[in-house]
Parts: sequence; C-alpha cells; structure tokens
Amino acid sequence: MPEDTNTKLPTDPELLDHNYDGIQEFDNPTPSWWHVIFAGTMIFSLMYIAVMHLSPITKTRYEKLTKTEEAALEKQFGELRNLPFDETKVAKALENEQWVGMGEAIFQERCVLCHDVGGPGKAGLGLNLTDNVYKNITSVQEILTVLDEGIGVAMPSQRANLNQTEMALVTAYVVTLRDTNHPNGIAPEGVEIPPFFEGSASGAEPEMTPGG
Amino acid sequence: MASSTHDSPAATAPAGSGPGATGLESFRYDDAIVRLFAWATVIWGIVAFLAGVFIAIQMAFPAANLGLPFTSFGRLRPLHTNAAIFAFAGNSIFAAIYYSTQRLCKARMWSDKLSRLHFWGWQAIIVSAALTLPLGITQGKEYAELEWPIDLAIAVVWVGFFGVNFFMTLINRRERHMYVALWFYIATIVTVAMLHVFNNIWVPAGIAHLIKNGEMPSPELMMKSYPVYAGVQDALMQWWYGHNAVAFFLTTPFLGLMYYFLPKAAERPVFSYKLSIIHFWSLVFIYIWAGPHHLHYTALPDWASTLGMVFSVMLWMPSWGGMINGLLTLRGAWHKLAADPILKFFVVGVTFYGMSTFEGPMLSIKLVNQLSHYTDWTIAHVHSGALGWNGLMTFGMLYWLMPRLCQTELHSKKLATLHFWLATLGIAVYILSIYGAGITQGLMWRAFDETGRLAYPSFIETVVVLLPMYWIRVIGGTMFMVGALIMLYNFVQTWRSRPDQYDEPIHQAPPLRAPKEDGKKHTLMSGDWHRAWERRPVKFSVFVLIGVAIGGIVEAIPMFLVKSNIPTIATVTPYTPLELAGRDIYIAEGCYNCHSQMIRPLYAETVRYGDYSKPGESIYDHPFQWGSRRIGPDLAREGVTNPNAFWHWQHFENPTLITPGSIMPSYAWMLTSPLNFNDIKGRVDAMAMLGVPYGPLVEGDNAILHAREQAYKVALEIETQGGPAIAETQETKAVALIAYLQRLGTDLYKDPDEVDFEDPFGGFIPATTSTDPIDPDAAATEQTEVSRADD
Repeated sequence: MPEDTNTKLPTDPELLDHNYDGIQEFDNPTPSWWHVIFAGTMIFSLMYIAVMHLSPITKTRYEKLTKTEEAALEKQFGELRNLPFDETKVAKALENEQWVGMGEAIFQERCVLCHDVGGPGKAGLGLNLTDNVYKNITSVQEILTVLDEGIGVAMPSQRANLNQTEMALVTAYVVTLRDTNHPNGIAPEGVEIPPFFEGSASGAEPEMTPGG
Repeated sequence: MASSTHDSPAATAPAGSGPGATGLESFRYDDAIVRLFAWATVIWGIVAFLAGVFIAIQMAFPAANLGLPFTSFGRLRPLHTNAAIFAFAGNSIFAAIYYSTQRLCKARMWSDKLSRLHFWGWQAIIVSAALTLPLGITQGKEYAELEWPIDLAIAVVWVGFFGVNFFMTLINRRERHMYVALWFYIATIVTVAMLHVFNNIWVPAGIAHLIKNGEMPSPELMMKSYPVYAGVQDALMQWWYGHNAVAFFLTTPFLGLMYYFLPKAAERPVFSYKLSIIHFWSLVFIYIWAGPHHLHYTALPDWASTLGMVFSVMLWMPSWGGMINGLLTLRGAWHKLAADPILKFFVVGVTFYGMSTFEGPMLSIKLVNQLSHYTDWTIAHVHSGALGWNGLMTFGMLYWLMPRLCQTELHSKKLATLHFWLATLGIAVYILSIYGAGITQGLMWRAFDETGRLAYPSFIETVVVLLPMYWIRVIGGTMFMVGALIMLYNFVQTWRSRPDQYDEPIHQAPPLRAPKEDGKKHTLMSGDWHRAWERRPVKFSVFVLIGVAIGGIVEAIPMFLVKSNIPTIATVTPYTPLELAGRDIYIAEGCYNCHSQMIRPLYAETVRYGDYSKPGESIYDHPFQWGSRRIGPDLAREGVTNPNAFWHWQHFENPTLITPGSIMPSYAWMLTSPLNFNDIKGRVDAMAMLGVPYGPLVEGDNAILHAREQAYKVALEIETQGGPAIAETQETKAVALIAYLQRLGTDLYKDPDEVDFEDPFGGFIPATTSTDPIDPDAAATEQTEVSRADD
C-alpha cells in the first residue's frame, strides 16, 4: 500500500475516516459566501423569468426591435419619411447635402459591387451612371421603380435591403451623378433622356430648389 | 514496455499470498496502458497546438491557406478543435483515468484487452479524423464534424471498450467507497455517451441511395450523412451536445483528474468532502441545461434561450465549488509552490478554471451575449478554458506522472518551470489580444454615426483593424507550443534514463464482500446517505444518468412536439437539387466556421444584413448552418443582398480583388473542380427519406436533370455578365455553391401566390418527357424571355 502522503499540520481540523490511495479528506464547511451567491443566482433566475416572460408589460425582443427601428428611422430621415414614394421625395432629398451624402453612403454599401465607387459601372455587371444615356429608365420615377422592383437578372430588387426613403436617397445621389462623366466610365448603353428635373441646366438639380 | 499481467489472483499471486491463506488478494496495476495514453497526450497535444498556430497565421496572413483545398482555414479549423478536444484532452483524461481508477479501486483494469482496444481504437479514430477533415468529409456541426462511420467507431470505443472496462473495474474494486474523482469519471462516461448518440442520429446518403436504387454510391456519397434534425431542432440538439462536450469532456474528467493528482502533488488532504458532494451533484444537474445560451437572439424560441441563460448563471457556484476545493486543498502547501513546477501548473490551471467559469455565466447573460456573440470574445473564452484549465492541468499531471511511469527522476525541473512560464505567458498574450479583438469588433458592428447610420457599414472595415491583434495571438500560441516542445524533450530525456525492466510491484488488499448494512435508515438529513451511494456504483451511475437527462428532456421535447415553437412560412420550399449539392459544398468547405446564417432581431444586424431570421426559414436545413463566429459577414440573406453569379465567381477566385483587405482564402480551385451530378440523386433521396417534400424529383434521374438545368442557367448568367463561357462553368462545384448562395434568405420575400406548391422547383420537366439530356436551346429560350425585361 502507498504511504499516506498527507502531512498533518497543527492547525488542521479533524480528518474524515477516508483514505483512497493515500488521499484523505477534511469535512470543512462550504464557505458561507458560496451558499449566499448560489441562492442569489437562483433568486435572480426566478425573478428574470417572472419579469421577462410572465409580466404582461415586458416587450418581446421583436417589439423592442420595431421600436428601435422606428426611432432610428426618425433620426435618420425625419420629415422625408412622410412624403410619398415618388419624385417629390427625391426632390426634397436633393435639397439637403446631408441627405444626398446619406444616399452616397447607401450607394457605397449596396451598389458599388456592380456600379463601382462613383458610378462608372463595371463591364458585364453594372451600367455607367455618370453619362447622360440610360438603358432602363427615362425619369426619376422609373429609377425608384427599378430599385423597388428590380429589372432583369443583373439588377435585383432592393426591397429587402432598403426602405422607400433609402431608395429615394440613393435615387437623389444617382441623379447627381448624371454628366459627371467618370474617367473610368464604361461604354455608354441606352439612349439620352430629358433632364431629370425640368428647367435645371444639367437636369441634375430640381427646379423647386429653394436653398440647396 | 513491461509485459502486462492479468489481474487474476490465482494465477499471479506469489505462493502463500492468495485469498485462502491471509484473506488478501494480490494484484498489479497496469501502468503500461497509462504510459501509452500519456505519450499520446504529448504527441497529439503538439499536433493540436501546431494546427492552432497554423490557422492563427492564416487569419493574419491569408496566403498561408496555400490555395489548396485541404489546407484552407475552413477545413483545418475543425481539425484543430477536434485534435485539441478529442486527441489532446481525450488522451489526457484517459491517462488520468487509467492511472487513478486502478489505485482508487485497488484493482487492475478489468480487461487488458479492452484497455488496448480502447487505446488503439481511439488513436485510429484520431487518425481517421486527421485524414477525413482536410478532405472536407464532415457533418458540419461544430465538435461533431466526424462523419457517420467514425461516429459509430467512437460509440463502440467509448461505450464498448472504455465504458465496459471502467464499470467492470468499479464493480470488481477492492475499495468499499468510491472517491470523488470516480464520481466525475462516471458522469463523464455516462453523459458523453448520451450526448454523442443523440446528437449523431443521421441518415447516410450513400446507404439511402443503395437501398432505393440498388446502385453503389460514390465514396464521397458513401461518407456523407444528414442529421435527422433540421433548423431550430438541430440547433438545439447541437448546442445541447456542444456545450456539454465542454461540460463532460473538458470539465468533469478534469475535475476528477484534479481531485486525484492535486492532493497527491500537494501532499495535503482534500479541503471538503461536503463541498465535493454538493458541487458534484449541482454541477452535473445544472450543466446540461446550459446549451441554449449559444443560441441567444437566434430563431430559437425565447423561453429555451432563457432556460439556457438562467441555468448558466446558476452554474457559477457549482463550478466554483471545484475551484475552492482545489485551491483550499493547497492550504498548508503554498510554501512548496516556489520550488515545485507541478503545483504551479495546478494552481494556475485551477485559477483559469475559476476565471472561465465566472466568464461563462457572464457571457450567457443575454445583454452581454448581444455584444460577445459571433466575435473573438468567445474564442478568447474557450482558449482561457482549453489552454489554461485543460492544458495546464494536463501538463501538471504529466510532470507528476511521467517520472513515476518511467520509474526514474524527471530529467529537468528547470525546463519544467520554463515550460510553465512559457505556457502561462503564452496564454496571457493569446487571450488578451483576442479579448481586444472580440470587443473591438463587437463594438464596431453596433456603432452608429451621428446621422443614425452604421459607422462601419462595410464589414471589411471591422476585420482589417483586428490584424495586429491576430499577429499577437500567433506569438502567444507559438509560446504555448514551444513550451510543449520543451516538455516533449524533457520527457524523452526522462524516458531515456528509465530502468531496463519496469518494476511491477504487487499490491495486496482484501476482496470486497457484500456491503455491511448498518441497519440505519439513510435519510437526506442524517448526512451519510451519500456514503451509502458511494458503495453502489451502478445505482450511483443511474442517478447521474437521471440527473443529466432531465435538462435535455425538458428543453428538447417541447421543441419537437409543440408546433408554435417553429411557425411555418408558406413560401419556404426545399432546396433544389443543385442548391442542395451546393449546400453540401458549403458544409464540406467549412464555410460555417467563418460565416453565420442567422440575423438576430437587433437593429444593428437588421440594418446591416436585412430582416432577422425566422424559425420557419430553416426547416429544411439538415444540418442547420447558423454558425457561431463571423470572421466574415453573415450570409443568411445573401441571395437577397448579393445574388450576382459572376460576382461570386470572381470572389471565389480572388476575394481580395473584390474586397481589398479580405482575409478569405482563394477558392480558385473550385472554379475548375467538377461537380459530381450523379451523387445529387443520392443526396435528394436521403433528404426525402428525412421527410423533405421533393415530390417528383425523387423519381428516376429527375434530380440530376433538374440540377443540370439549373447549373446551365447559372452558367448562362455568369457568361451574360461577362464571365467565362457556359461550357467552362456549368459542370463546376462553384456553380452549385453559387446556386445555393443565390437562394439563401430569399424564400421570405416570395409571393405565396407565385409559388407553385405542386412543383416548387420551377420549370421542372417530368421524367417521362425528358430522358434525354437537357436541350441547351430550350433553356436558352427561357433565359431570353427573362432577359427581355432588360430592354
């Protein structure tokens, strides 16, 4: 048999009558803080279930999401949100540089894969948006429709990616791209169309612009 | 190696010492088997660390993927995790169990033959894992990647060889009571068997194909299987397994190891028997519930998520019971710490256990998990557990064990101390850098600018900032590995000074007769009820089984029986045959190691990735592919946000060209690798067997024909967009994978009026009219109609 390997110190409590291959055991009480915290975690758990699942006033994670989304949209788009999904919304967006900038940011997130940064297009993937000829659209309204519904296999509907205000903001940015003639622009496709907003020189600026 | 002798008193006991003469039985311990497991631990440990350092370099320097299929991160990451868990930690616990069980039972292992079958069987499983995982043969469920034939081998080796041998040794023991280390071993063996079996119920596609068609499947199809669970249910089962692999493979056996080797090394009695009882039972009962905390804010119903969270919180003190018993056992031995590297390993190992079992409950709180989930925080957490607790405890045990097994002195205590410092500092460097990476990325994902838009809308911005931290991780991991190499050298030198012949001392003990009943009724309050249980290994094991079964049953049964947990969505239809083949490529390449497919209902996610994922969307996902880490962006709505075929084609070829700074490896080989269309039939048959409604596609070669037609369409799309000609693309694996990616997340946006539920696989021609190969002209005509809309 192996020797008891345990050393006995004068301060040690009584050993139990246990000996396994020389290993002995004390029977010290579990520290009281251990019991307190253990009980605390149980009470916390019961309270958590009561508050999060049994209380009628607690919102579900989906209700919370809707609320956050609502607040975020209000913060981002403000008055723009309530305008109808047509040219007026785009015209309003064009009044404010910050909104056009937001349109550019959305373009960077969602459109540059095919249309490239600044809109020169990529051969086989996306059209050049910086010239004055267009293949699929003839008006601002139709840009919105293409974004909303998609067209052909190459240009998918953005309905699942963007809300209507975001589509209007991208449209506003795309309107400003007209005639910027990006140096890397790919060959033009389509036909020349009238200015987006009548009366403005390039067609890029809406007529009703009061200050922006 | 010394010859092994059977534990048969009549045959081996010296004359005059048999039971008849003195009432004592003589026996020898089988240390040869412990030597085998100990060496296997050292060797596989180094392999696991090497694989870890290699894939850590790949994260910082993607060219280290080498452009080869079998050296890409997605295939090697499972190799690293499996090697660390099942090869390194596995052999370590077997060494601990085979050494300590014999001594705690005063009995040789019941069968030397089973011991050897266990050892060689387990090594064969490891080798087959090392061969199959780089080949992309995987079930695609984390830490349960090994395919079905290996699953069967694991069940046989674990239950049939290891389990039987262990329990028969318990039954034939000569020590009346079972010491606490044995309780933890029992919990390990019983629970791992339960987890492994229930998480690995599958239909092998090759066998399904053979039965249905009487044709021999290809070897690739033969190895392939699909779990019977799908989507939410599969996720629940997988993380019930995954979390409890941590609990019952990396925690309970290591607590058993601690309870034997720590008091031995410290030469001090265990602090508290009472605490052992209370923390053992509370730990095994509570742990099993904790799995759903891996699925917070996913499509898993909230009630299950809450159960996972609250039980994880309640697990804090049961876990710390083990830490307290370990650390307080060292009272009166602290002065030895300065001189003894073994105690250093144990003290820091137990401390890491305490840290990670505080961090675990904290991470399981939903609000914390919102930030930490999908980030490197989880990676840091598991490495503080795996390197700190499992690694250091194993090293401490090995330094105690090796000189005893080799029956000589340790070659160098100095080198052992050096190993300790390298390992400890290596872990610190590793986890601190990766905590930094995790928290940085988590905060960047949810950051908004002053206009209320995402501050880092393109995912790559949140990746490139991590690279310095990834390099620091490489340094930490390398330090840890160098420490292990020093240990190998130290052990080889120790082994070289072994005696010519190992001494096998004969031990004597009286046999165990029927337990003496003291006539007292044991009640819960009398205090000695547990003492009675310790005399009854079978009863004890049954109680453990009941304890660990409850949590799983309460969480799983409603998920399978109550329909409202997974509301169905009318427009969700099965994957087409080609998409299914593409999905299997996605799984084989281990895409799930870097990409999640689960958008949480949090604004920062819905605004980045699209509408949150619904439970009904993954009902045909055998297995689910929700993922656990976003090294790359979430792909749950990839088909909606980025359906462009040629984009994906180019992206596979060279990700950095499309996304500068991308750390995704190139999959250029996939653009030329041919897809096995004939296998698709077997894949569809197996899915149909699992209840996926494939309708007419299971007839004849319809699945293959349908797949070819869709492959042609995708190839045409690539060509139209300026990519290579149809003939170059339509037979490739890339086309199948693109078809799958184009499908992801799209079902939710379909108009129910436009989905033909009789034939959801659009444009399918019944078998009777299309026994000829697909007519490219016919398909082209159809395509023209679609593209007319462009004009």
